[in-house]
Amino acid sequence: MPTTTDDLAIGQEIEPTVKQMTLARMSRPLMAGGNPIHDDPVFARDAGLPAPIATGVMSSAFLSEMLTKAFGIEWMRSGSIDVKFIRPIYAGDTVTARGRITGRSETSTGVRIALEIWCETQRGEPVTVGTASVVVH
Amino acid sequence: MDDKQAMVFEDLPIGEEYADEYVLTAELARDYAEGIDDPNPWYLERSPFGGPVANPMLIVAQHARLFKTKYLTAGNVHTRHETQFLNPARLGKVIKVSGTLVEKYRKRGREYLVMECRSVDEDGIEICRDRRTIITQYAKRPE
Repeated sequence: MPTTTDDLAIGQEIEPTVKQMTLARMSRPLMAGGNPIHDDPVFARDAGLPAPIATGVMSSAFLSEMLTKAFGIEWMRSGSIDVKFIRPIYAGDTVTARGRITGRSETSTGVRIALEIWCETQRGEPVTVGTASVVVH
Repeated sequence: MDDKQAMVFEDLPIGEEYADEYVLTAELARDYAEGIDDPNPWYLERSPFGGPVANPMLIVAQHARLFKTKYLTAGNVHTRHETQFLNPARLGKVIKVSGTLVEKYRKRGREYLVMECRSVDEDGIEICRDRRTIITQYAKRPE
């Protein structure tokens, strides 16, 4: 975790988070939410998919984990995230959450750090893309 | 008897409101931590805020339950969310979730719904706000 705001330079990438998408985790009721497209291989195949797809908010959780590691409690008190789920994440994929600082601006309560954030799979394609910001002191 | 209705895109009124609440238990926090493989002790043991707090995305994920308070739905797929985190959610609190359907549209043959949601704890502390977009019936159950 950066120790001062001076450590947060535009263009800097923050430490990525890597996850393995197992069907066992995707199938947990809290993850699948009763939607068989997230946990039923037969249903997914009938829907024209090679495997069940993860809920989009699982990838948001990976991004939030990365941002929590980078910004600590400030992420919970002042973080914002705007993400689109542009491609499916399939059971068996390896997902990497990444972020790059794109801006810094002074506010009345600290320095607002803006980031480009995304998740990509082992296929090298982005699956979740968006922006985030957080005020650090 | 379940009085929930099938979700019919044409019939969904803009401005319809939804509300739900749940207890933010340690079991829920643990289940979520295991599901996303994030064993941060802040969520299970202790945090810089004192006791354990919820993973912020756990609170956001619970907003998906709002449509289910009125409709029989199991085929929605989330496409976007814009979320502001305002305060940590402390385990043991009742979390009150509310939402309003603010927009609906069709694009490339799919039906999109946009809902604005917020979560507030039993003490009135606002945890997060969220604007989420979903596709209804991404894939239909076989007949």
